[in-house]
Amino acid sequence: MGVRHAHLHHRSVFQLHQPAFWVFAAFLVYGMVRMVGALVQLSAVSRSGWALSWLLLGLYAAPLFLLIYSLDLYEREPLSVALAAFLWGAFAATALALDAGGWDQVLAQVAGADFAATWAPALTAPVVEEFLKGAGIVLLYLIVRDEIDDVMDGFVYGALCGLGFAVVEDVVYFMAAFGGTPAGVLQGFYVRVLSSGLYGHVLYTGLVGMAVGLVVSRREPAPMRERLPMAAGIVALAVFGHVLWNSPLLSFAPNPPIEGVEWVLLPLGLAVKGLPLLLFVVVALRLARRRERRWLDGALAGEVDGEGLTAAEFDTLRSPARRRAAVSAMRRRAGAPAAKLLARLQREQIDLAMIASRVATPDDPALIQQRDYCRSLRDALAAMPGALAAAAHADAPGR
Amino acid sequence: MTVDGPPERPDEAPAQRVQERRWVPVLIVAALILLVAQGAQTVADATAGATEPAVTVGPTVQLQPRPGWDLVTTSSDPPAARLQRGSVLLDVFAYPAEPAGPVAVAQRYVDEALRPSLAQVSIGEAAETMLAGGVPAVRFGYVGITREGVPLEGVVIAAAGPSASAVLDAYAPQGELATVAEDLHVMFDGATVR
Repeated sequence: MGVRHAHLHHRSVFQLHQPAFWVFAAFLVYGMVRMVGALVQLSAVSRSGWALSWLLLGLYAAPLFLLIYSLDLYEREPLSVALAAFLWGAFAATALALDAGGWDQVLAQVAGADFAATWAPALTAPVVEEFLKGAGIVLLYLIVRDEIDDVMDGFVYGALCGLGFAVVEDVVYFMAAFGGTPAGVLQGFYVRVLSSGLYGHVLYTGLVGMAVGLVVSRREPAPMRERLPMAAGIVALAVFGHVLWNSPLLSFAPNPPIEGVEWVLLPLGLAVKGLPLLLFVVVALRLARRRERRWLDGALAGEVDGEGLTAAEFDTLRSPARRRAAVSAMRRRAGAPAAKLLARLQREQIDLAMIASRVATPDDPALIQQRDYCRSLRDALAAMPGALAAAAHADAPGR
Repeated sequence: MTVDGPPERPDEAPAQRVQERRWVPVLIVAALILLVAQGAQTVADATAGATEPAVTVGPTVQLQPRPGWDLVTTSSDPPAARLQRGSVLLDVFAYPAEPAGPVAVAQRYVDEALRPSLAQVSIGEAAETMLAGGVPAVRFGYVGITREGVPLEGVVIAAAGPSASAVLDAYAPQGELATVAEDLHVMFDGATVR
């Protein structure tokens, strides 16, 4: 089983035999050395402000990380790969983006300092930053190809990469642009996180990740000649959203210094630029979820009531809420080991769908092997005291 | 029973199977990353010429520009210099000695230079710091709007040396200052005020 799992699914990022791993690691180490040095230097401005920056951004990023991580309902991504995406955004992409600051100089030399002063943030940063973050997702795909197999996978890794980028960028902004003192950091947190934290890098890079997922997906029925323009359109939308955000256009938010009622107007003004893209992404994610469910139904159509999957298990498997409820009921009635085993059975049944969708015939050895494995897990579960009763309770009508 | 590799895709003959350990796509991605990250600086440096020599303002204030920074203008009353990198400007002023210390230097700069030059400005809290040679200084950030309506962000170092005081004011359109934070830190730390 170990050999099969090593190749099929749930792989860690530490694929030492993959050239992409070493390239990814080299850029990440470079980024960490560069950014940690820069971030430590910024602490000299105000140690209390620096510490407060990390505290506030930790409170913002931790729940958002979990939210993004749990978006893929059927196939939870390996934690090491998710963390790698976050770290790429936080250190490699930020350091490389700093290196790419020369594009502002090139623009200033070509179009003049006045033009660059107004338009450089809109014309250079979005293209450079989305490319550098997206390149990390492509490298991750080259490390663990099976883990990025759908637009939802791509969104999860892209959004986590964007979140990492946003956290480090925010620390730099708090310390460099908002003065770095605790009062300045609080003001920066209000402006950049509370008022606009859902509109920025998480969305842009989530979209870029979706485009990567669309191109590399092996579940996608559309031919590549249709997928490529669609993916290019998604990337263009991400870059356009970033360009619009950084540009002076549609800037209805009050400019600093912000006083009085402007504190209330600020998030409203920022929403004009950010909310449409957020709504688009929410709709796209809902469509992606529906597509995942359709994929699951199609992949398991021939397996229901077979050796690896009963009809009741299939009903439960289709609904993430029912899956959680079943595991929870199992924990209450038969204990934690039984609940753990049921969760494992559910994961293996998702893998059953994955294999069923990839093999040519229903008697493929890998498919038969997976059916046998699911049955053996079910048998082991049934042998645990209280497990059968818990399963019957979970399968009862009306639940 | 074990399987040696991932199950084959139904639309893929064994001979066409994708080789997992491929260097070519990895090298292409790495080359593109390097091109985007380092290429611009190479172009910018090539077109901007060599690194500027140390800039001396008045006889007492000296600052070494980092690569990519250009000396744009100098003036003598008060002794001042302006450096630029992309959309970021760094103004360096030399003033007479200020026995009351760097806070007084900063306050005078805010009152006499910063506030009059901007339509609106909000000053951050000042933090004590030190320049090269142990010259006491304060550092504060600010955000404001120019008379043309452009939102700016800036950071100021005001230092009081034994025979002169100095102000270093780096500012840029909102969102741009962070891109040179590391440069500013190095240049500020290395600035000398005699």
